[in-house]
Amino acid sequence: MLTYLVRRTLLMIPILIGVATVVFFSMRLAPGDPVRMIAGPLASEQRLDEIRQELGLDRPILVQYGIWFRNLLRGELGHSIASGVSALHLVAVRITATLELTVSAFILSLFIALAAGITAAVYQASFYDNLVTFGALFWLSMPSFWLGLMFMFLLSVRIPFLPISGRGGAIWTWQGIQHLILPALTLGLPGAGATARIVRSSVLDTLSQDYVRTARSKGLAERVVVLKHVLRNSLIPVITMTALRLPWLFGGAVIVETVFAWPGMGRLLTAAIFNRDYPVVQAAALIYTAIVVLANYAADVLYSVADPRIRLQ
Amino acid sequence: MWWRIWIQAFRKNRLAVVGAVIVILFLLLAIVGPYIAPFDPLKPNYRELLKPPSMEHLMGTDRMGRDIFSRVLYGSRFAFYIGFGVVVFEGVVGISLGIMAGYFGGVVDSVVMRFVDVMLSIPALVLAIVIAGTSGGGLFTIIITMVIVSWAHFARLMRGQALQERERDYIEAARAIGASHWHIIKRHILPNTISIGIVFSTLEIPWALMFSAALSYLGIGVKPPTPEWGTIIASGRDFLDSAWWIATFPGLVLMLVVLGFNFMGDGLRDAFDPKQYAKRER
Repeated sequence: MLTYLVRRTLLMIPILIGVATVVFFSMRLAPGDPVRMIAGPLASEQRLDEIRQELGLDRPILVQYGIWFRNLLRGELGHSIASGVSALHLVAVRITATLELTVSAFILSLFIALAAGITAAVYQASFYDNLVTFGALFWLSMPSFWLGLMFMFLLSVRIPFLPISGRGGAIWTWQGIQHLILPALTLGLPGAGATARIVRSSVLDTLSQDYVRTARSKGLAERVVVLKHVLRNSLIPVITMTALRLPWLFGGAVIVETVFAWPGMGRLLTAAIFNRDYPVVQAAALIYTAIVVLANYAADVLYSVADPRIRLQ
Repeated sequence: MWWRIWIQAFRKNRLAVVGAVIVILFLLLAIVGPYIAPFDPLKPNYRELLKPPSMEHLMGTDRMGRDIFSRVLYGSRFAFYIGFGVVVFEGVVGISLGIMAGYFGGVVDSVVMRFVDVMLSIPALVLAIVIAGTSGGGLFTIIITMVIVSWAHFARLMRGQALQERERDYIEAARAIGASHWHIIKRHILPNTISIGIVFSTLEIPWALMFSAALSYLGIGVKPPTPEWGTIIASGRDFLDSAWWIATFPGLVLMLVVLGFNFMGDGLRDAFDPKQYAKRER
């Protein structure tokens, strides 16, 4: 177990380096000049060259990559071109807001998916089952940015029931919860559709196992059979699929944050893109990846909890 | 005929048939849409600003007096270009890299799969924002960006298929009579794995439609005033209280089309999945 954890931790390093490299080159090779953005449209050629020299943007791209890589290893992700503040700091102060949104959306979607998926499988081929199958596809097909706007229109504009946008403060305050409801629903419901389908088919598979028949024949209540024998055994594919969907969750959060003016990393990222603020973009992309990789790692550990047969090696 | 069983399985699934009908309607719209649009999608009309839906303007007008319905009709063609453009390029990249990795194994496999691991660890939308955002948007850039962020899924799927196929006895037989790698891939591996690839592609189209609209909504994809669904929805963002129809109708159309593709793709997947027949017979 311990060796596995150490090896997995070491495996994260090449992935992060790979991501950093992909992001570095896709930004530098793209057309568009950050220097012009800083200096303004009226700056002279000479002034542009000065700024370029200052930022080291006049050197060959491989040299820039080398310098940038060396700094990365030291944990220095550079300073924001627009504001001069450390890029890592800018990102770090926004992690809480993003995690608050993604984690609550994740929990919400998991609960909906488990409830809907299990009942659909238990009452297989009933009207309810068809409803869940249809509902799952329906929510899955929902473009989240539009769903967010529609929630806003119906529940904040038409019926002034919930705040339109922004973050209301810490999650344990009433204000904070009120502001969180719509963004979390917008992010969570489409994911719930995808997960509910997996829960349903996984529970169906488990229901036909011999040990379930044994449990029933020894007279256990159906509720005990489903919750004790079936649920735990059908969780493994669910964990795999939810772990695979984590990058989508964080990607979706970028959109939802923009729609609801939620002050997280996603809004920082989109703003930095428009300002050609390379260091901030790179820092944000790296942190996003690090979170996703860490979460996948947690999912791997969860397997062995859900299924003791799986030994991590 | 051998394919009759697919058609039968597909037709039994009523949602799949509904989906196929929606998809066919969408394809028709993408072809004839611009010809039947009642108004110019780009020309402002300052006497008809922010008009609610009526018989003349089925979906209302926007803040420049342009007819939303006409813009949505034109938008269907962009959606078509993006959906199919992405899937075709993604398929070519994903299938060739995936089959190469699965068939040759060894170093080729390791290199391709490590690259796939890296690509799959980055949230696709974050990477897409970085690439498309720095290169300035536009239809072609968006298609390329989306291929870059999505080919890894495809490659991983096809690698798994190729890996299974490679172990079959007839492949060994083909090799024994001296068939070249290229011949084996072209004649044996590809035909036997392509159906999975096609099903996967139909499920990639709705993803591509939503994803590109989201990029345009963020202001990174196709730029206004191009009548693309995401940009139309974005232009209605500030008018939710006064002109709800601007954002509502294009989104509704986008959702319906995505739903249609998902229904159809689901039905296709079941129809192509031999395990399903086994279940039904039991």
